[in-house]
Amino acid sequence: MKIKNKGFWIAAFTMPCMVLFALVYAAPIVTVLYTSLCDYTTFSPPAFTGMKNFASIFGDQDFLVSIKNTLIWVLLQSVFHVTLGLVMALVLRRKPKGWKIVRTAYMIPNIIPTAATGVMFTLLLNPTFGIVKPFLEKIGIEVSQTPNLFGNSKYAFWTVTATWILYAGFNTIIFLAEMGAIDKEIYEAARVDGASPWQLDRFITLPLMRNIFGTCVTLASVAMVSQFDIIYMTTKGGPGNTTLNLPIYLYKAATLENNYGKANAVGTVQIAVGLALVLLIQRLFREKKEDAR
Amino acid sequence: MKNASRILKYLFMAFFTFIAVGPIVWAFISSFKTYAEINSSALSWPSSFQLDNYKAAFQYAPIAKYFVNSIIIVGCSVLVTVALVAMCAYIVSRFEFKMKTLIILFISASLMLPAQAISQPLFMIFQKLGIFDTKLGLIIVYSAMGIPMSFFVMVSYYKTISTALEESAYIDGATFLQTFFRIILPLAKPGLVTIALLQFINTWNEFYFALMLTSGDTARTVPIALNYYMGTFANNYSALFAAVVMTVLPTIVVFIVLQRQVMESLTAGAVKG
Repeated sequence: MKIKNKGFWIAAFTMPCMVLFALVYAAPIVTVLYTSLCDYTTFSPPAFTGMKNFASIFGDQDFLVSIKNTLIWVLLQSVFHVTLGLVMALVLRRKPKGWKIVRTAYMIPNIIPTAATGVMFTLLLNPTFGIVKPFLEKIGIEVSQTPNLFGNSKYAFWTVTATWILYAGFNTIIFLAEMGAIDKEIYEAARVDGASPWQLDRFITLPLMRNIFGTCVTLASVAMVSQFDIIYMTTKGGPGNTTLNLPIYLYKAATLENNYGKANAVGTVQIAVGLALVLLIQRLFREKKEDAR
Repeated sequence: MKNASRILKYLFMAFFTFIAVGPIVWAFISSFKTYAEINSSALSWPSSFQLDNYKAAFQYAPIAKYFVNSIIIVGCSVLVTVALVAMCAYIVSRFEFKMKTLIILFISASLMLPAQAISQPLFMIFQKLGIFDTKLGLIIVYSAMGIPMSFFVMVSYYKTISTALEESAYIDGATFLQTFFRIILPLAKPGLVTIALLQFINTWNEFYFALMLTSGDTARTVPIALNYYMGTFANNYSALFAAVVMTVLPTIVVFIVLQRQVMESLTAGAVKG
């Protein structure tokens, strides 16, 4: 194409985007990486100290628990959300009665503000007026005191997990969209050859979902590496350190301890963990693709 | 055998529908109960559908103001993101130039950047620029946050538009701007709607930056209102029920009305991004 002043328009059209990017992403990332190596608090400007912050966080039991929890949640979320999303999509794909209602209803927890989900579960599971007490009474379990599911270190981790692990509506619609894109003639041909519905899913639908698996697992991991809202609204990482993860640990370092150097060292680790996971997932799913050939 | 699997299928569907909407329905019903009723039984109906909890929620926190803030901040950030991405993605989808690989690399790297990691420097930068705790500050962050996903959705959308129209426009002597505004943008409308919706949902629900970058009522958004209630009215549960319902309901209504569009946007964002 012959365009007058092409170079000028290219610059003019990409510049605004890039300027915003530099301000909100590039400058902060450089700052995070640099000040993670500094003594830096609300009251003192950054002063270079080398690996001190990293040495201090890796010596902190709470930080190690944060990493461990983050990784467990990544793993659980990847496995459960992808499996659940896939099964739900396989069920809804054949359009059984009421499938549209189920699809919409199941999507709702994924589109409401996550902070609201957190508040809702704190209310729902409250030991005095929540549903735990009547539920235990109904199924005939007698307890002297209704358990506080978010407040008791025995249950807190799994209670927090339960607030998101079953809600795979987003993955469901991704799988449904992908299944909708499969050529109908493939199914027709297989059906003519006498394949059962189960065989159609097993030998046609599932193999064609392979590409999208990687996407779904990546989405689940990225979401869990930065999962903050629900934990903040329910347990704030407690009781003790049972529900701490990297974002909550970072938030506490920055706002409660006012230790910016430490917070940014955690930020550096968080970025590294996120990046490592994404690369690992890409690798895993690429190799699978090659095996299939 | 066939019947058993059908029953199983419907049980599966019913169970997940129930756990998806159950808590919301429960909160909705409870929001009409009095404080005493909430405390006496979790599973009873309210004696009357009184609105005292809603009145209390409005009284204790400027929730109406938070709604206005949310609408302004989200509205502006949708406009900015759509405008910037419409321009930048067009250039990247059509032309070859030196910085192109670099731009794509930057944008794809930021796709998986955890928000919390960059929040402390942003906090400092915003304080220095005097936009901490302002609507402008949140608009800037949200606009930037929306770029990565929208960018890839838009690039792939532009690629579906044939270049033949543009070429003939240029042969007829049209300028770059005329071509972009008169020919490209009208054709790209569905793509723009997709990214606008995507941006709307993500920013309307955003919590972390709203928490980090505001300190007063001037810029607080709706999700943050909940945090405010949790802290201030820890014992006034009945008002909290009303507050939750008010935060959740608008999103649900918008979702149900624009269902097909929203689902398409979210899927596009996930798959292309």
